[in-house]
Amino acid sequence: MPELLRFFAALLFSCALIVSDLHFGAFAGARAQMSTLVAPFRLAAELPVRIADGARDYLAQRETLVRERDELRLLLAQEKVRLRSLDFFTAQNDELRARLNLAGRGGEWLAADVARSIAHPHSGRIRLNKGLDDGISAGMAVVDNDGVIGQVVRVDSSASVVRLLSDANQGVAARVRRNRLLVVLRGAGDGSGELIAEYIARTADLRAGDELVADGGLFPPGHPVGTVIERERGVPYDRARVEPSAAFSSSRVVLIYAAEGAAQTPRAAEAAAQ
Amino acid sequence: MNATVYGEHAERGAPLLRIAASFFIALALEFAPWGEWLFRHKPAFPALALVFWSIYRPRTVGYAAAVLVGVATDLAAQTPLGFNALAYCVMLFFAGHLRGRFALLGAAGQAAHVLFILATAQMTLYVLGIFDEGLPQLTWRRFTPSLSGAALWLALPLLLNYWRGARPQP
Repeated sequence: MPELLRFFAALLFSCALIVSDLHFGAFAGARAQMSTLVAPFRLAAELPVRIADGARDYLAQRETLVRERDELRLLLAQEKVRLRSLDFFTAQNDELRARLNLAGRGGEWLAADVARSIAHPHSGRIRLNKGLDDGISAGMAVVDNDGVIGQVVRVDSSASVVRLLSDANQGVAARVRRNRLLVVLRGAGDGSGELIAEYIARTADLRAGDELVADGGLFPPGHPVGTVIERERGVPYDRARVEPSAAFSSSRVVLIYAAEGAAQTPRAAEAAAQ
Repeated sequence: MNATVYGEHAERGAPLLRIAASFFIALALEFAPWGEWLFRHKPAFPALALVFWSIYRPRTVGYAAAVLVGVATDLAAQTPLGFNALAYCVMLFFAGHLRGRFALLGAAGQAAHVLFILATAQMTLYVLGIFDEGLPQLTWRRFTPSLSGAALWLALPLLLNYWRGARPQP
């Protein structure tokens, strides 16, 4: 039965590919190069939207642009004032940290666009238009203005995949802004987009409305993560439902945070994230 | 509708270039910016193209093509290499076994068979997903791409006939 033989040969080949990719990470480097082969598909697929976006920008009314400019100027002036006071506090903070022998909150920031095509239909993942060539590596944190979005889990030469906080396999350590209580959050993974804080001691001071901020590590310390919606009593531990601060599905531009010494292999990053 | 839905068009000779072009278009469609809702529910275009050619051009499009298209899908979707390749091979196995029936079936019967064939690929991907990211939830929503794929199989010949000025047979 040559037909059956061919089937098993193809099956075996595919399985070999999967094992060498998932288990041995054999294609970590080669993948980046191979992905250039499929770049034409991505380009062809996104072309209509890019043209439409370009046309819309071009046709934007002059008055709208002038009004927007004035608004942005005002905003810039306000932010400059805020930034001045922040500079003062940052300097003060650095000095205090130096006295206490604590490491600074170093780390680099990169900006990336969210690709309109979604990475994975059945799990919380988005795709970014930056990759290894732009200095992104697996494990880096992804945030937007409002809060933490997730973590880079796969990188090609020119694109990367981000696992959202709402994914059940994604975790993040956070602190309650009010009292510095440490909680560990993971995605609910049920399509609600919510996060779950588990293993909360029954006596811990945590209530609905509490703001949670990232604790550091791979995530930018102090960046908002979410707000507690409801605390659910349980035995032996309580748990809490948390509404994420970031708009996962509507963010168009995101920031990527590279913590100091964050460059990792994808495997290590996946392990660290879980 | 008559027995062979696509047969006559496909039989008219499909050079390798046309088959390759159809896969290129299918892959471009697969990664078009659909928006979230459409992305979840659109048919799996490369799978549909594979099923089509494996039924009407089984000597040209077989397991080798399935692995090639699967690897291309994996690279573009950034899924672990081999996931889609394996799913497409399983799908073509069933397509190969049901191929003989397609000449005898009406459009609705063909669509039902295509639904089953596409669902085998979805199911394979689900099982493989366990190795990648733990046990994902299995709901009927996972199979909406197969449903829409079967619907497309049903609708496309009607549209093609309409476009060419022919009326479908009563």
